[in-house]
Amino acid sequence: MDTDDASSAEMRRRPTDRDADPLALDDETVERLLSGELPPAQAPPEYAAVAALLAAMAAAPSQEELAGQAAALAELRAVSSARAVAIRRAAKPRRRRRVGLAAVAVAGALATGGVAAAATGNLPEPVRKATRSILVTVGGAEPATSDPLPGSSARHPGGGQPPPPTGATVGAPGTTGAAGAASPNLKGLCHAYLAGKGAEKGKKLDATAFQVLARAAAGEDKIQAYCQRLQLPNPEPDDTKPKGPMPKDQEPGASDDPGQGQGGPPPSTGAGDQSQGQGNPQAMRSPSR
Amino acid sequence: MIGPEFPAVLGAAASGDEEAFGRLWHDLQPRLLRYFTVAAPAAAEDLASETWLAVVGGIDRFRGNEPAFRAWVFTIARHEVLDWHRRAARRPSEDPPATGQVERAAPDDPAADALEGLSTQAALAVVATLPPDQAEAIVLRVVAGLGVDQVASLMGKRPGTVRVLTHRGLRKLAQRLGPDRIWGVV
Repeated sequence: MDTDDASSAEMRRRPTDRDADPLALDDETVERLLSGELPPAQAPPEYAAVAALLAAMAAAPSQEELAGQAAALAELRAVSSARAVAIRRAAKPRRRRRVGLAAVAVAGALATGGVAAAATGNLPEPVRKATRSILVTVGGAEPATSDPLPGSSARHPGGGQPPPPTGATVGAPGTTGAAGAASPNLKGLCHAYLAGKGAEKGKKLDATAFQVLARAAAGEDKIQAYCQRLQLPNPEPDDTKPKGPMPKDQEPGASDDPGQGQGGPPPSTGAGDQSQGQGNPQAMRSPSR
Repeated sequence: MIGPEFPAVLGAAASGDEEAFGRLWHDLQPRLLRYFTVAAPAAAEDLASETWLAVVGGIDRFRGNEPAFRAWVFTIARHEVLDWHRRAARRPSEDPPATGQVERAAPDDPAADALEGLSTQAALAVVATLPPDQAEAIVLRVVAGLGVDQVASLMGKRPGTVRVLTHRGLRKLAQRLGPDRIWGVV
């Protein structure tokens, strides 16, 4: 009997019996092999070569594999800037207006959400940048210690005045009602959220605003109900105030540079404190299909 | 893996920070190339480029943690593979798609390569001799670093099926690379 015959005879027996089948594998060993936790010397002898093979598959990147980085990034940069131009050109005024609304809401939430620290430079640069660009979009204050955006002061309606504290611009902190009541900023976010229609909901808001709402509502799927509850009249004396946090003359976009608020970067999620759960099932799908 | 910094890197990349995007590329490009080397060997570089274009187009809408991001990128990658096979099937003059069906030129060659250097490319060549779905399941687990459930939803199969595929694939590899042939006494 040669070895091939022997092994095929053994394979016909119960696969979990190691005495009968030297290639039998339990699930735990499979997992450890796949995750690289089982170096060849510690793997079952029959799987030592497999462990070495899997380790080679997962080895550190080679120079060759990384050789195209500069070219690849250059190509992607070209593509994304071309796309940004296309988006700006295609943008309709109405769309810009709604983005502006969301930006106001975000600015309000940022201002009282502890993110006012952005003005002091304590936050990661992406968040600072985002906050800055939102505030500029709103036409309000610019964080005092931030680098001003080129030309931003010219865009301010009230150019000569010293910028008020960021919190006072839109958020009006301190007007919140009794404990447990939603802050005006959440109402503002909800207003922006509910302004969307159907499938567009949620996409209206950028990641930061959406996360703020999701946290307040205790779940992304609860935002709708949460916001509808908030919009209902209630006995809070301040109830009507937050509904109009944005006087008409502060509304951005109407006479602004067409790109403003549209092509700019969305606020980063860089604070890193929001729950990073399952990922959005929508986003799990390929964007191109 | 990018690790704890991932949310910040993702956010910066989504807002156009090229350095941050470069970190994502650096982490995932080698994995993508290895996946394509097994799944669509003739087109690995092209499919990687296509995948990144799609990632750039959708990254600002993506929400999730690092494993979810990886699963998303590989979902795109797998669509690119399927498209490529569809296109290849419509081109009669070319060789039919040969995913995972690369026959060993000589019975011992890949194993001998594996013995000598255990280079990544040699290892991928050995895995590519497995039936395609077994090879794909193993590569997505090992190279892409995805969990059973992620691989299952990506391949459109049940988790139990993915377990069986990987189990069978490892077993076949062990048969081909038996200890007496390569490692002797361990």
